[in-house]
Amino acid sequence: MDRDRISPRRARQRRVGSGCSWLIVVALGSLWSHTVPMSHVEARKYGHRVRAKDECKSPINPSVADGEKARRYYESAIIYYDTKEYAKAREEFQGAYDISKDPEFLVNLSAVAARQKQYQDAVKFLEKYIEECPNAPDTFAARSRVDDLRIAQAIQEGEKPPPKTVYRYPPKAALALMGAGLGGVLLGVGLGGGALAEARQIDSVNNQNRVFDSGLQAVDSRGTGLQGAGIFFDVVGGAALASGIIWTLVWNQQRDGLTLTLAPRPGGVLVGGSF
Amino acid sequence: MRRQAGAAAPGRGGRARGLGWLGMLVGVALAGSCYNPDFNRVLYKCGPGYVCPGNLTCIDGKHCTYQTVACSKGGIVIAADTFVCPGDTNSCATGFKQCPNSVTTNLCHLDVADSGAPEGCSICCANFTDM
Repeated sequence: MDRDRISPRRARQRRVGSGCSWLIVVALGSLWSHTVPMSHVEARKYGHRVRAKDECKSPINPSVADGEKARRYYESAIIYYDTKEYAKAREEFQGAYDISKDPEFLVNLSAVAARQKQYQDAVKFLEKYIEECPNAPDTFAARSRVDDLRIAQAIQEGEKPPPKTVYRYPPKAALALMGAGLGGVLLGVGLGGGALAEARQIDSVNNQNRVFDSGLQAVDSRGTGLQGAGIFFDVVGGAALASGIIWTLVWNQQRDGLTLTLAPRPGGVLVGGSF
Repeated sequence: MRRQAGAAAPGRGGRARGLGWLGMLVGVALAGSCYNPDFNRVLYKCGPGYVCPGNLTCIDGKHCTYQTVACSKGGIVIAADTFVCPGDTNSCATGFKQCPNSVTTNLCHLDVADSGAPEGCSICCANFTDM
């Protein structure tokens, strides 16, 4: 289709060419479209052949003035296309299509979109072309190109770097607080278990009629001491653990764009949040 | 703008489960830390200096008992409205009477007293019980 792409000057020259030469150009263009990669697909020449009546759904009969406007848009689009200003080329092709409703411009719009690597749009334009002109001789080629464009789109999407999953851990101090708190609670549980064992030793039925001597008193004292130590570690460890968890929750909420406020109140803490 | 919870953030269900486990751990920790021997399962003799464990007091310089309304000096509870009042001089207080013979307990198997006879021990039940 490279031969099919023309500058405005060449377009004027070709308008005076014979019908035979047009047919040759079209045949070469069709062959080119099947052999070149997608990135080399070029714009189609406006009015390169007269369509049969039943090729397209709606007849294309723009007024002379509109036809001329569309041609000016087209010629401007071709200039932009040659200078690789595809965004402007697309605007001009779109203008030409809006005025003339000539499906040829849909093919050109598809080519420009493909140049812009906007394959989804390129597919959309070609599908619209196929829908408008289901009986056109190049429908098969258009369908084939749609397939190619979809492959290109899939490749493009596959090349996109996968969205990074950023794992953010809570602040180290909060983790340390939770770890120490958990350790304290576990230590408290252990000491409490020791206290329970001492209690079972004290109230054992084997001690019936036994004098509460220094040995039993030592066991009793040990149990009481273990209980005190267990409660201490449970309370301190639990407080540290709860503080670490609240810290982490607050940190997590703030990271998520939420706010969590803690305000001490008589008998407890008032927790408030907003988002 | 609120960000949706993604893979990096734990779900609310997981967070709730975590807090549940934490609560259970703290509960177990606090419950397990209680040193509360059951002195109603055993009858201690007073230690040197009339020392008794817990809140028990030494009566007659021999037995460690609680101060109860069921015994004239002191006793321990073996069941609802049923008390053991150990000692020769310890008897059921007003409003309580000796339980029927069907009510027994090992706590009344006391040592033989210096006199050679088994030391007295009363099992007292509340008067309003029809036994």
